Order: sequence, then C-alpha cells, then structure tokens
Amino acid sequence: MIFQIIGAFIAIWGFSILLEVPKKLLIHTSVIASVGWLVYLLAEAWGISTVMAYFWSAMVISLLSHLAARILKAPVTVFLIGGILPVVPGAGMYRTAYSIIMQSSDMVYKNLQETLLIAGAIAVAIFITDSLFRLWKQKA
Amino acid sequence: MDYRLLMDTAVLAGEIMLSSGAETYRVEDTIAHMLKMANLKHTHVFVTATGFFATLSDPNMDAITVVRRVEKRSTNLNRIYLVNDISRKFCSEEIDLEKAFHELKCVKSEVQYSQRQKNIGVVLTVAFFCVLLGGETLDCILAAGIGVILAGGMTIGRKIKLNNFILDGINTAVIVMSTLALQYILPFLINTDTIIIGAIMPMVPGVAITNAIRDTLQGDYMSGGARMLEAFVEAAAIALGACLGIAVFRNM
Repeated sequence: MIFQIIGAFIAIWGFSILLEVPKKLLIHTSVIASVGWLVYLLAEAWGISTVMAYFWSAMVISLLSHLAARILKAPVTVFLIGGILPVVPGAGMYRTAYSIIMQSSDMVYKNLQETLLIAGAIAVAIFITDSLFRLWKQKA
Repeated sequence: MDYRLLMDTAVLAGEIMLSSGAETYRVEDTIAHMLKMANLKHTHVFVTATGFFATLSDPNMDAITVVRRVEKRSTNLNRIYLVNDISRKFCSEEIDLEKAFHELKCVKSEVQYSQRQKNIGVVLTVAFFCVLLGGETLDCILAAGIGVILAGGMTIGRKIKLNNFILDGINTAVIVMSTLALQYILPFLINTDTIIIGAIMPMVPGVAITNAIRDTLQGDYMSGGARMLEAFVEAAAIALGACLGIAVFRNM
C-alpha cells in the first residue's frame, strides 16, 4: 500500500509538470492526489463497492483542493485537475475499448456501465463540494 | 480611469485564462470583476468555451465592446494561477492598471518547464501509474520504456502540429502495439493491461471532464455541454486508438 501511495505521489508529480502546475504548488497537488488514492485503497479494503470507493476518494480530493485553494489563494483548478487524475476511469475506458474489439458484448456493457458510473460518482463528488464551498463563501 | 486600457487589460486576462484551460465561469468572473473597477453602469461579459464578448458602457459615453476568439488551447495551470493573482491584486487596488497590464503581458508567454522536463514528466507518470494500478517491478520498468515512446510521440506530434484527437489516437495505437510486442517477446511475464492503462493516463481528458462538471454546476450549460463533448471525443479517440492497435497487432 505504501508503494502505491508513493507511486501516486510521483505519478501526479510527473503529470503536474505536463499541466504546468506552479512550481511551488507541485508538492501540494501531489500530496492531495496521494491522500485521495489512500482513501480509495482504504475504502476498497473496507469492502466498499468500487464506485463508492471512487466517490469517497473524489470527495476527499475536491475537499482538500478547495481548502488548499482558500489557504494558498490559488484557483481550485490548480489542485483539482492533477489531484483528481488517479480516479479518472482511464482503466474502464481501455477495458471498454478492449471488449469492443474482442466482440464480447457482455463485457462491453459491464465495462461501459462501470466507467460511466465512476465518472458520474466523481461528478457528484465535485458537485457536492463545490456547492458546500459556495455556501461558505456566501456566508463569509 | 483609462477605460480603453481597462478593457484591454481585462480582455487580455480573459484570453490568457481561456487559452490555458480555465473553467468558463472563472474567466467570466475575472473579466467582470476587473471591468467593474470602472464603476460604469453596464458591464457585461459572455464567455463560451472558444471565445468571448465583453462590453463596458455608460449613458454618457460610447460603449466599448470587444470580441475575442480563442483558437489555440492548451493546459497551463501556472498562467491561470498568475492571472488570478494579478486580477485579485488589481481588484483590491494593490497594483494600478498600467502595472496589471504590463504583468499580464509577461504572463502571456510564461512557460515554466522545458521540453525535456515535460518528457521526463510523461515517463514518470506512465511508470508510476503502473505502480498505482498494482503492476509488478518488471511491469513498471517496461512501462517507463513505453513512457519514453509516448514522450517521443507527443514531441513529434507537437512539431508537426497534428490535430489533438488524431495525435492521441495514433499515440494510443503505438503504445498498445509496442506493449503487445513486449508481451510477445516476454510471454507470461508482464501484465499488458496495467502497462497500457498507465500509459494512456497522460492523454485521458481529465481537464475536460473536471471543467465540464464545474461549468455545468455554475449553470453554464453551453460551455459545460461543449466540454462534455470535448471529453467524450477525446475518450473516443483513445478508445479507437486502442482498438486500432490491438487489431493491427493481431493481424500481423
């Protein structure tokens, strides 16, 4: 598990360079992504379903991104785009394409459904945190 | 206050943000905030995913209206960060208009990392996504090799200015074929799935997906819809590339 967390950290570090994340915020983005991945791994270990595990992970990532944005006075995007990458369903996309070419329609359906559900779960998580922070901003 | 310069400054800020991959509502917000510093009766901004209009008018003057079309878009979070900072300082009157305009001019061509650093970034992303997906040591070492191929493909693509969708498709096809070739050489030793999925991660439309969600939430359905389509087409390009790679390899 520790290897995976370190893996997430370095992978997002590399990816952040592609996104041109400001140099002094590289470490924050990578830490947010690793914490998100940790949440995912813990949720899986607890026996929560894959889609819900992705949901909680995305939830923590976007909460942390919003907090970091408030504290460091930077746009949320800087943290969110890099941070959310580990949970973006790239694997589902590839497996869907793979099952299309293998012509197994059961697997196409299963993989496509899972990919869309995960994407939906991430969307809902970002929706919820965005709305929460919107309320906070209005009160302040 | 020099309204023309204010307009130029606000439009420049918007242009940089939109071409760097900011959410549409954030671009709209930034331009509107800066224009409101003029304290005129009407300031209206309308931003879409590919361009914007802004207008500044008052009963006792001619309206100033600007249209900007943003054609080239690439993700550069540092520019968004810097513009956000300048606009915040300008709106809290920490810096004056001339200074803001001058600083924005500098931001426009700001690039932090060299091409080589970006290529290393691609290799790191691919190799360590493999770890993250549960790959074994050998898988990750081979994934780094695939990452080098991907970095090469991306560099060539940037030089010949190929359309992004086609470029992603071709890169995916090349990745899939080289991974399958590796499996052919080292059967039973590697997990092709893990390597391939790790390798397509740098191309996955994460920016488009995130922005689509956030724009839609802000009630900006036009941009949200456009970005969703963008994400979908990019994903389809990768999927098609993967199909193509597998198909070509099987028929060789």
